[in-house]
This record gives sequence, structure tokens and C-alpha cells, in this order.
Amino acid sequence: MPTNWIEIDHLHFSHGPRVILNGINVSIPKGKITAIMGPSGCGKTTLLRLISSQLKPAAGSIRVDNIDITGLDRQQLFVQRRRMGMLFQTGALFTDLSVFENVAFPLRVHTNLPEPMIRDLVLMKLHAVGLRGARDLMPAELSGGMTRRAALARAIVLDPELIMYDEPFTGQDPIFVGLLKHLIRRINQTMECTCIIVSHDINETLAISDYMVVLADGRVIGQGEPEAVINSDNRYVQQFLKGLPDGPVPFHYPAPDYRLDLNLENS
Amino acid sequence: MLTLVTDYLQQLGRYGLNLAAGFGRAGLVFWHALWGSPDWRAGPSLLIRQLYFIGVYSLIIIIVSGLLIGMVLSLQGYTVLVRFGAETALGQLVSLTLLRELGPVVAALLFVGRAGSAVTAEIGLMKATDQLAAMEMIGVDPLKRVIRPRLWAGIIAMPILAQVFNMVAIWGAVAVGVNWLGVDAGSFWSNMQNVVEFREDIVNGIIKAFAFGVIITWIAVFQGYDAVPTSEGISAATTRTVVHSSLAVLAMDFLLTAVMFSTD
Repeated sequence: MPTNWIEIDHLHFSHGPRVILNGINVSIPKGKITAIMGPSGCGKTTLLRLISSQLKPAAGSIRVDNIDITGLDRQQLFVQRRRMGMLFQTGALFTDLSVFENVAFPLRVHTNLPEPMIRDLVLMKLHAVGLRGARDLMPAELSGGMTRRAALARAIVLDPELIMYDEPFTGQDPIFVGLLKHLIRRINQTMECTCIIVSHDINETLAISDYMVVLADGRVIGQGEPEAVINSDNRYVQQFLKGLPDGPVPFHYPAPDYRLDLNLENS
Repeated sequence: MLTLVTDYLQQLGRYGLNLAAGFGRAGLVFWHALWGSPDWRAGPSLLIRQLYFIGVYSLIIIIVSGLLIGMVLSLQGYTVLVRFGAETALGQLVSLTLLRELGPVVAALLFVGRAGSAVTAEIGLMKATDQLAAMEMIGVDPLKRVIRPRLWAGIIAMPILAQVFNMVAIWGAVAVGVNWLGVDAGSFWSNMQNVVEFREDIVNGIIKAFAFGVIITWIAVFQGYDAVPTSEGISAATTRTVVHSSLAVLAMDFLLTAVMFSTD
């Protein structure tokens, strides 16, 4: 039995002329919570979308449970995705369906379960995220935190083997952040699934992570147990973890000489 | 000077490549959406829902416009024909104009504005709010679940709407020509029945409306699916749907008319 659920090998991805990921190698252990961290724009969400094959890499391979998902055709990919759940930053609930129907959606399209069983399963998942009473509300009637919790219930309703969380804590109040941390940990333990959290909230994410990958400038600058990564002397890692405004990740976007730009050279 | 020319050629080449890539993507969307076995479990209810949104919701604008256009056509036709004492040919004029040209074309242009833009905006917003990505992650192909029912609904609804338009417009023409301006009802209807041929006029009109339904809905779903997922991107995609579909309808109408009604 492999101990790594996902193996990423020499992965390259570019967006037009801009290189987002430049030959990264990442291993994500099975059954653990892995945090993918790094400054904004470093390619964290892109990596998540590559793992779920919503994007195709320019080069390199991504093996999920020993299957190279970059070589799958459209139909095979949809089969593989049934083993994955993803919590989008926006929640991405279907706006024309109620909370109940959103959570029931994966069951209705992928199973032939009788209606009473679908109802019980949906209510169990909604109960797990604390929204059993909100089953009849429409997505427009939910707060940001409730939207994410409903989306989480939908993501776990098929009991996936891999759950991906895209910036789950961003823009949420402390109560919801605490609640979500508790939920992520509990889901990981009870379902024994592999979890990936993409985030730049260092304290919140590290509190529940078993493994950590730090990206910067399209490369992996730190990977391993959180404690080992935190104690590394890599300048990128230290700048990110300590929140220093300038360092290897520059404060300024590349620009021409400041004096030249202000036409001060002749004065 | 040389760099200007090469720059221009480069831009032209890039534009050509983007255009070809766009046609390729549109073809793929069409192919993937229509290809494959139908989903008998969810398919019919999704299709009926879209027929309701795309077809039934367009009825009001089609009926009101049809009525007014029939009335105007009758009034204008009467003022010209009466000079030659030929006002009894009003039924013939109105019916042929509507069945062959105005019915399918005006109904199609109204359909673009009412349903085409709505479909583009809806799909574009679903993309911008990650709903399409979420569907893919659940293991459901949005081309089958979202695009296919809308595409079929547009293709089915358009010919029906065009016939409703014709019917109401003729009724409007009768109201103005016969009931108001006093054209003899018997002459109006018998002239119409004598001159309208089922195969030549009615079937050709339905074929036109069907072709317009395909092209409009294809453009609308593709523009939504291919939209840049930002507010500007969705606004631009909706505009493109209306402009491209309208021009495509008019160009296609000319081609079909040339093929169907040329006297050679």
C-alpha cells in the first residue's frame, strides 16, 4: 500500500508567457492533512486545480492513487473525480437548488438510492456541518460561512478519498474559522481521507496540518512535517512564516528604475 | 515602415489564429454537448425546464411583436394596394411576407435578445461563480448537464415560436385589414389559401426557423461557456451573443432564401 496518495513529478505550468509552476516535485501522504502554503500568486490554487485536473500541465506527471490523471480522457476523468471532493473558495453552490438539493445532487446523479435513503444521508451530512435546520434555504439566503459549510456537506456526501479545500479560512470570522478547523480535522479522522488545504493563513492551517508544502516563485521551497519546515533556515520560508514585507519575495513588482520613471535623471 | 508592416501582419496572423481557435472550441462544445447517449433519468426534466425558460418565457414578446408587425404590415400593404384597387391581394402579401421572411427572421432576432442573451449570461455567471467547476468536480460533465438541455430547448423552441409569431401576425393583419379597413374577408382568406403552398412556403419557413434556432443557441451557449469569468467578460460575451447571432441570422437568411426561392 503506497504511503503517498499523490505524487507530483517535475510539474510545469504556464499561463501565457508567465511561468506559474516551474518543475515542482510534491508528495502528499495518504490519510493526512497536507497544507499547501505560500504567498499570493505563487500557484497554490493552480496546483490544486492541476491535481483535480481542471487544468492540464505543460509537462510533468500527477499520480493520484497510482493513476496518472494527466493522461486520462474526459470520461475517465469524471470517473476519477467521483473519488475527490473539493471545497471552493466561493462555495460554488448551485444557485437554482436549495441547500438540501445541493447536497443531494451528487447522490442523485451517481447512485440509484431510494429517496428515503438519500434524505437520510443528506440530513446526516447537513447535521455534521450544523445546517440540518437550513435544508430548505436557497444559497442566496445563506451567510458566507453557511455557504461554505453547505458546500462542505456536498463535497463529502459521496465519502471521497481525497478532499481539497481552497482557501477555506479566507474572509471568515474567528468563530467560523474555529468551527471549520474542527470540521476538517473531524472529517479527516472519521472518514480516513486524504485532505489538502490551500491557504495563506499560517496559524490556522498549521494548527491542523500533519504535512506542509511551501511554494514560492513557482518552486517548492519547503516540504515535510510542519515543525521541520518552520525550523528550516530557508530565507523564503522564513519571510513567509514571519510575514516580512520585503525579502526574497520582493515588495515591488518588477519595474524600471525609479529615478528614470519619475524623469529625475536630468534635473 | 517595415516594422509597421510586420507588426500589422503579426496582428492579422494572431487574429486569424484566435478566430480559428474560437471556431474549433465552439465546434468541440457543440460536438460534446450533442454527442453520446441521452441521460434518460434527468434529461427529460432538464429539457422541459429549459423549454419553459427559453420557449415559454419568450412567448409574450413574440406574441406582442407578432401582433404589432402584422398590423403594421397590413396597414402599409393596404395603403399601397388600394391605389391599384388590388386591396383584395392583402392576404397574399401578408401571408407570403410573414411565412417566407418576416416570421422566422423577426422571431429569431427577438429570440436572440430575449433568450440568447439570458442563456449566455446564465452560463457565464455559473462559470464565474465556479458552479461549472464544482459540477466537474462532482464528476458531472457540464456540457451534458448544462449545455445540452439549453441547446436542444433552443433548437426545439425556435421553429414553434416562429409559427406562433406568424399566426398572431396574420391575426393582427386581419384585425387591421378586414375588421378596420374593410377588405373583404372572403377575398382576404381565399387569396391567401390560393397562393400559399405548404411545401414551398410553410415548410421552408420552418426549416429557416430551425436553422436559426441551431445557430442562435449554439452561439449563446458557447459564448457563455467560453466567457472570461469576470463581470466585464460576461458583459462582453452577452454583447457578442446578440451581435454575432443577429448577423448570423441575417446572413443565413439570405443564403437560405437564395437556395429555397431562387427561380432558376
